[in-house]
Amino acid sequence: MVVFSGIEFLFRFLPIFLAVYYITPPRYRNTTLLIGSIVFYAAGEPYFIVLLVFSVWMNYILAKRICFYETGHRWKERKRKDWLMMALLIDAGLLAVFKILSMFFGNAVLPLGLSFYIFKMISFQADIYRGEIKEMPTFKRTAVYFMMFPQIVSGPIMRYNEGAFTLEKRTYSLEKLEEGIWYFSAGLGTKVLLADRLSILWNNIAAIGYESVSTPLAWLGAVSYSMQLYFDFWGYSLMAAGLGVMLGFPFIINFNHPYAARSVSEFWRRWHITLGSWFKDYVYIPLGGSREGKLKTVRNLLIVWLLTGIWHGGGLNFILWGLVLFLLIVAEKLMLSRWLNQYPLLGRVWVLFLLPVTWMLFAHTDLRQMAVYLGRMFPFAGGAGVAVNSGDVVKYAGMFGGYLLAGIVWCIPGVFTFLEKNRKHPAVVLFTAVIFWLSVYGSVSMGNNPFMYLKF
Amino acid sequence: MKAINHLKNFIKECPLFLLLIVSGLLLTLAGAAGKNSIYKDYPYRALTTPLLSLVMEGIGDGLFPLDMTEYRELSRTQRHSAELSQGASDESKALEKGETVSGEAVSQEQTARAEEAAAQGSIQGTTLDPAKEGFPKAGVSSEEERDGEALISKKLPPFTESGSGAIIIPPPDQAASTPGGLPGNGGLPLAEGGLSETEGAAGTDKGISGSSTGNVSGNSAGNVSGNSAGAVTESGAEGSRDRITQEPPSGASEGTDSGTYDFRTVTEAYFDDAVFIGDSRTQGLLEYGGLEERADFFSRISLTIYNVFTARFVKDEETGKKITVEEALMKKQYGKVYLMLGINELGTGTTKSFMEEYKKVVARLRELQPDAILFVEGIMRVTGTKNEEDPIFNNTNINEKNNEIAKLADGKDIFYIDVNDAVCDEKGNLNSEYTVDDVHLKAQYYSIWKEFLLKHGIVR
Repeated sequence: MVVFSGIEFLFRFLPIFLAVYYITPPRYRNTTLLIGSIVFYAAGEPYFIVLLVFSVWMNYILAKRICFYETGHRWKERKRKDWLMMALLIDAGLLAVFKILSMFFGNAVLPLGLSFYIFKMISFQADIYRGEIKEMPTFKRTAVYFMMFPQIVSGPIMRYNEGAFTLEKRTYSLEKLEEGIWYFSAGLGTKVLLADRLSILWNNIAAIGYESVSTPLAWLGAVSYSMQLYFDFWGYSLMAAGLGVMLGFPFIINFNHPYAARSVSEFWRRWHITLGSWFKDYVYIPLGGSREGKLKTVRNLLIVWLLTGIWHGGGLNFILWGLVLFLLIVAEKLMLSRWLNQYPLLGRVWVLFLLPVTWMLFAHTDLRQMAVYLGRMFPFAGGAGVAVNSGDVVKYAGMFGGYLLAGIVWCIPGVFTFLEKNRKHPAVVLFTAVIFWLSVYGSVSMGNNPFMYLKF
Repeated sequence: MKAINHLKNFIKECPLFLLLIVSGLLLTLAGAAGKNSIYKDYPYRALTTPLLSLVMEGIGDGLFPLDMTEYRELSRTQRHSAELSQGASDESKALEKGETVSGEAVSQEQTARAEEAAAQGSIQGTTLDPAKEGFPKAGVSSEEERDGEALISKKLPPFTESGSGAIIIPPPDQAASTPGGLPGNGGLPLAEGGLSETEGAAGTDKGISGSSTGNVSGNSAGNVSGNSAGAVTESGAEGSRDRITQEPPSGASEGTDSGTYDFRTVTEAYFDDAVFIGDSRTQGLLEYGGLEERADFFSRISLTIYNVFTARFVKDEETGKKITVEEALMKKQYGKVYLMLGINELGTGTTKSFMEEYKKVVARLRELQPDAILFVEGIMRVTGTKNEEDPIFNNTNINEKNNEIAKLADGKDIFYIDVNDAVCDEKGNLNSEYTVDDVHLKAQYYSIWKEFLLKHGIVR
């Protein structure tokens, strides 16, 4: 039920919840949302719901402590800081413990959405401490912020101030409801019709065994994976943001057409924006940002990118991936940015060539496999193939060419913004409805029917 | 008035929402209407599956809501024809016209079953097992048989159109010897009938008298004799065989020991006149086994024993069009035919229903390729992890089918080979080093399969 593209969510949870939510008088809608979110999370994690509720309660208590001491006096400042540190240690510790456990026992021990709700909690505590959240929210509002079902699974890591948790701020209108449904449908199609389809190509390549993949197919796979990852997460983010809009919250932008970027740094300002800005506001800037000389800037970037790598997963490959991104971004900052800015085409080629390669570090938790795959992408570097079928790329380009082309089109910013702008046009409405039902069809045949999924 | 304004406003502001609600309701209605008819074989749990997902699943199987009307037609026709045939069976046991085999001994129970089968057929297209349910496919000529298939896939009642006049009804005494308590079994194991007939035919070619039914007919001797006469008309062009096949099978079993062949190592040239038929695993052998220059491959992802002859995926080299395996086998004669199918079907039907279909396919292959050596290949197993986790795609299910497939071998012109001997670990699971997805060999290990095939040649 916790998968937005799943049938249970689409046709059981969501309609019932929406109906109840809108029947509830506006004053009580936070309660409805809280109960709905608990039901939603408990359906996915019947045991870890206890951990979630506990950490929500704990963070509320600690935030109240921070608020208790006013600013101004030095001893009060110290007290405030102590409580903040305690909150940060508990939150970060919780995340660290589970990340380490998952390194030994696999991802099954990771509570659903932990990385995301812990980051929300840390930002909440920091914002309380800094006074960015003016008034200590009620427990209900705090809980709704941490637990709201549109964001609990995979973000976006919204800030408390971005969400309209105080009831006066939340606005409801048919227009917003329609807008939310449009974003949700767009996200659903992106996820089911593109990401899920392209993932089959990636699985096929794995099944062949990397040693036997031809170099063109290795590149096709890397490009396909780059799109798959993007569509999966962007699709999810659109659905999550759309759900938020349906409930009266503002739209949270998590992706801004990253593959249209002209440098790796720009890419990362457009990719998973809520995470990037979290690291900027709660790690990079507090460390001094780029204001304290080149050396410190580089150090701060290194810390941010190592943490980004670790946040994505426990494997060594994620650290390696973070390091490579760090090197690329530092190289851009110190030397390349001038050329990349001057020649936009060079910037695009740079991004479109490098990012698929960096995603290959991200994709392979097994370092040996990673080396083999990179060897196939760059055979002159010593990645000799075994039993390679040089015609394989033709086969897979034929099988997935349609999805890849559609994916490339969907990466172009203008296409999305055009539809977004004209979403009230009857043709776009009809198109969106078709996309919605095609996605439902895709979801049914993938999810409910193991034989469709397991075709040999 | 206020309400109307609200509604107007809603239509104006939320066209997409409205469109989704309306279309969703329509699909739900369609699902509700078909829940007990065309969708009755789909699992439905009110809590988790919305009715409209039934419609979606149906569409996935090529079944659209509009087919409901045809479904009603279908059941009516069936009831009608069942009544007809019941009347006929009351009149006499041996039918003069052979219009409906199901008429031989239709009980109420079987009428119900036939209806159900037809319904299933209409849902799952080719998974229908006509022989089992007593449809008159036994004596249908090959042309008509395919028409019959087409009819089934068009969800029309297969009873009345096909089968008229093409059946030679066995003498009453043979029909009476039909084993098994089920009424109406006279039309049952078409596959066995066809198989033993063609085996007999092959026997003629080699100058061995009597058919080598062996294990195949062992479990249904009566039917073999019953149908063999009818099946002769299938290969009417090769009339010379009639004499042999009409010999009683009791004589056939005596010939099983003589003239068998043993496996021997061969060179790659052995595959020059070979064809491989199979699913994605055989497709992998084509792509990575290094035999693509020598042998032909009729392989496709998710090919099953049920659609092996109906799916159009073989490229006709002359016209460039896609043709069926059956048509391709009519165009060219091979020296060896390798067949590996069965993993996709693990979730469908039982081993028994699978084997009935499998035998039919083997019989048809024998008919289409009378001089070829037929290699029925054991289904390649899955890894130990998959075996333990998967309730369907596990080695218990695979082995059960392989044991039955192995029984088809006669040591003369049908041979069972099991590549699992070469690719499995000591526990009998697919060696996990050879695979990433627990099911398919990694490209570089298809050479093991090829080596295995080279060691298991038959030279006559």
